[in-house]
Amino acid sequence: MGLRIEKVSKTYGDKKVVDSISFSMEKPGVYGLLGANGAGKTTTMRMILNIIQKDEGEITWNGKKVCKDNVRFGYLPEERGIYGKAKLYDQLMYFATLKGMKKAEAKEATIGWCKKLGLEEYLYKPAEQLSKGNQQKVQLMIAVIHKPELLILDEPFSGLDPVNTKIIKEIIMDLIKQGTYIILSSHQMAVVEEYCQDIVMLKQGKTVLQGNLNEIKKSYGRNNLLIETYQNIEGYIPANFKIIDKKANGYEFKIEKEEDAQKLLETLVENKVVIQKFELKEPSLQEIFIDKVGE
Amino acid sequence: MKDMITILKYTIKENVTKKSFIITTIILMLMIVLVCNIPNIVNTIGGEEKEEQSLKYVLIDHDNIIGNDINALVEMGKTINWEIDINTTNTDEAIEKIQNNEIDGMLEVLLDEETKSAKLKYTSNGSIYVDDQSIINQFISMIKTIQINNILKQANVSPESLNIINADIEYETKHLQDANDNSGIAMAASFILFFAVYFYGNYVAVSVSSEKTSRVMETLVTSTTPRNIILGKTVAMGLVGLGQMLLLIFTAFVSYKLFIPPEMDIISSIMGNMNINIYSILICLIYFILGYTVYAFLNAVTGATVSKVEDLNSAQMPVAMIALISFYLAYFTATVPDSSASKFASIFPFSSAFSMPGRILAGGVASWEIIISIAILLVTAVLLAFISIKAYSGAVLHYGKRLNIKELLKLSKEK
Repeated sequence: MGLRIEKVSKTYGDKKVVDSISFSMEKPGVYGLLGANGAGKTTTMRMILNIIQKDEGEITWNGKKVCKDNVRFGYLPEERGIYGKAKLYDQLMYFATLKGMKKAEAKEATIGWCKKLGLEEYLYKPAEQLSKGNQQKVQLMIAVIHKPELLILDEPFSGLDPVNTKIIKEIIMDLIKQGTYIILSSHQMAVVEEYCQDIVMLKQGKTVLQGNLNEIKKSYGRNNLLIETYQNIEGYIPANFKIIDKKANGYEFKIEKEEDAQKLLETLVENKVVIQKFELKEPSLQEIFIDKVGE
Repeated sequence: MKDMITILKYTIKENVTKKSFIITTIILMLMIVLVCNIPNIVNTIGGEEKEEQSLKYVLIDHDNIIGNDINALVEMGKTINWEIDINTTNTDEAIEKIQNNEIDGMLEVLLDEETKSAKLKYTSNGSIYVDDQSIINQFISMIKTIQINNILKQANVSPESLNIINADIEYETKHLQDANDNSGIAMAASFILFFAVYFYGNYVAVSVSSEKTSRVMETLVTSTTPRNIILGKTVAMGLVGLGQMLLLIFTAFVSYKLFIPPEMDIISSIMGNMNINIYSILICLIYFILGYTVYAFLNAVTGATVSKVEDLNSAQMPVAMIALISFYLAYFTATVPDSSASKFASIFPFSSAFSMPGRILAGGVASWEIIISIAILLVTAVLLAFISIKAYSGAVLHYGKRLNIKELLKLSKEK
């Protein structure tokens, strides 16, 4: 069951933009596709949707080819694009019908979604009158209007204000509850950490990290030490502690062994330092990303 | 198929509700109505003064040559809008009237003492309008007729003979060879077809490239297949074009019937000369559809190769060159319909749509020529459809530098 991507590759000219990527989604949820710009994320997504032909490998949905007849899929491209001159209602109806909905269903869905996203007043206006954020909501509507089983979101939050980000987050949460398989690509690691159980990280078309996000983090070990205090404790810090972050109310260190943290805590307590918070953490996805993809 | 119809309907709606399309159509319709009204406009502007202001002349018959027939002459003058005054007999008085612009001229009929024949003296203020030689000629012939009749009467010629002499000679013309040159029709037909085929084909390129530029394309290709998109669009634009053309032709027909005065109806006589029947109209329609299809597919691919609408013009150059050369080939061979160049033009798939309809309307094309020409055009259209669907699929998601033919072929193979 679900989506399987097996050893998929794509070459443009003499550049291998996607190099033998494999991953699978056995159950509904969000799969994170991470990587720097030009890592091959969009190409991978387009290959999954069968709008770009892969050179090698296999992509299947429940054992069958991914195409309109076998799976209802939705796609939110990274580059936003809607018909500027066409009325919102007309183009939503157009795409809904193309995606196989009957006229009555399409109408209901169109009006329903516009109400949900607060775009009712624009329903019969040309789409170019909408703000950029609203146009993005329209694009998302087009991607999800036909209740897709497989949804691919390429940078769904770029350029959105906090209010609209919240609205779209809620919609994604709803879709997960409804059992949608979602592949999400984002540069915002906080977003990915929030949704994705599994991730694959690409660097120049190659997989550099893959698997369950919690396990990946665990494998990194709890090497981040967070101490919140208003006192200066720098005199007690061993030489092998690396300061990652220094704030008004504390520090974040990179340490080598968990035992070192224990020793520091004992020293601090002995010296009667007042500590608000003392926490050993796994690294954030941001750090992992920079570690794997950076340099 | 269902998707294709959805795209077709949407494209038609999108295009016919466009302001530019509606305005262009209305302007063209108004122009047709205006052109058909030119005779009426000319009549109302120029005609009125002419009719109201008849020419006024004083006629002085010094030697009583016209005699009793002078009243007949006045009547005759009325038929050509002359007002002839026979009551003024004083030359000086008449000249004064001319100088005061009360009359246009003075005609004096005298007897030539030597030859004993009539002599005419014409005095006017010298304006070109009044001094028309044809006016004087008409007058001369009137006097001459009167004089001849008088002499014949004196010679006791019977009234019957006089009637025969005075009767107008009827004449009729008959051409052993068809002197009416139909190449004008063929040229006009190739002109109209070229514009229709090229203009509406161009719409397809603009539509495809604007979808690509606005990035709607990505959403569109994930909603349906490239094949449906390209076919739906092409057929839709063809129908829009056909609809607009039929509307314009209908407008032309109605306004022609309504506004053109019957005496100016030259088209009917030309049409009478043309080979117009249901069959030839149907053939013309087929040529429009197939010719349009060929160019529309080429345009769809062109539209798909560019990432910016600004690049479209330069990308269209090759297709435009093919179209222009083909059009000129058809246009100039229209004057020599039996030449081998003309035969080539009506069989070559890129020019046959511009060449053949005109030749068929002008008459004299063998059925086998038409069949071969349509067959070649049809095969080309189908072939181009296949190629362009492939090329289109390869090119629509390519952004960046404009694709050249080599890259295009490579992308099409990959797809």
